Amino acid sequence: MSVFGGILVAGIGAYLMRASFILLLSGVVFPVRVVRILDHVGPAVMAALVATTLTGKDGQLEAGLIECVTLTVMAVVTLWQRDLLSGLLVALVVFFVGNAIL
Amino acid sequence: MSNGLSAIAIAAVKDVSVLFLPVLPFALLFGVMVVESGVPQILGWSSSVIMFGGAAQMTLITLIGEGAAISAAVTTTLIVTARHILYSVSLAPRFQGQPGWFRWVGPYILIDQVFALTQVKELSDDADFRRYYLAAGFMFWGLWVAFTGLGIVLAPVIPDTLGIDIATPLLFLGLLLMGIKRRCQVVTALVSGGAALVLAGMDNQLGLIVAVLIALTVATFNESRVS
Repeated sequence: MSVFGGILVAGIGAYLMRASFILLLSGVVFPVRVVRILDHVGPAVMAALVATTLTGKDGQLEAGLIECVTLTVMAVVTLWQRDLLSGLLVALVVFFVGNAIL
Repeated sequence: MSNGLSAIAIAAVKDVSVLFLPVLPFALLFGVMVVESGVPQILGWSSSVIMFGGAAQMTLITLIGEGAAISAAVTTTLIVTARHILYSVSLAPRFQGQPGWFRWVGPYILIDQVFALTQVKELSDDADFRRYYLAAGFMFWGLWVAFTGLGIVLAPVIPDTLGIDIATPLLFLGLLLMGIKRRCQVVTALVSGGAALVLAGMDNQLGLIVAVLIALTVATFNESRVS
């Protein structure tokens, strides 16, 4: 298989994964209970992504004190302001200042 | 009730602008990665158009650059992409009232950030949801394609690390917090995050998928208790 063939197969595979249930279940009526369970997919994936992006290749936690403080500030400001941009900007300022000081 | 097209587009542009900030260095570094891998630059860049998925593209290009068999690299890449199946399951009810063409086009731009936006944004009207999804998704796509290309062009002057790796977990944490609407979802997030930390050593981000499945099992139990 050529490099372009590999990219093409990976692209088609990614598309099929994203489209699979959207297309297959287009005619299915979802019970309310199932919809409520599906509401948990978002928080579950986002939380797992946070954890995964904080770990190294061998699974070791790579977040130090500054990263933990930055994440806490992000959480507090985002929940307080209900605004992602405010949380992100304040957290990044804390991160850069923290790195400059320590 | 449907909102105006321009209001929806403006909301999408605003939201994507915020979400793309942490992704921008990631896009530039992908360009550097393509150049360093030895993969022909136009082919590496074409993966942004064909695959449109940062982690998957990085996995594929890195493995090919390291000399792995293309079939093995593709298999590993597809495992990394497997979490998108969960997005497809989760959004299936939302796509049911949509036109057929949208059910075929929409999944092409269904990446982490676009999925997260659908969880955060309250859009009960089907037409509003479709407009917002397409505007946000294709704006993200355009920015990703442009900045990965720019990363390839500027590779000689871009350092190997930009020192802001924290931006990605910050983004996902913010999206997580904005997307939580019920108390039992907090339990799901805690279980998933904890399990993902414990299982982080598994190959090809499989720990992430297993953690999500564990959390969804707990969520199913909690929901059946509530009902």
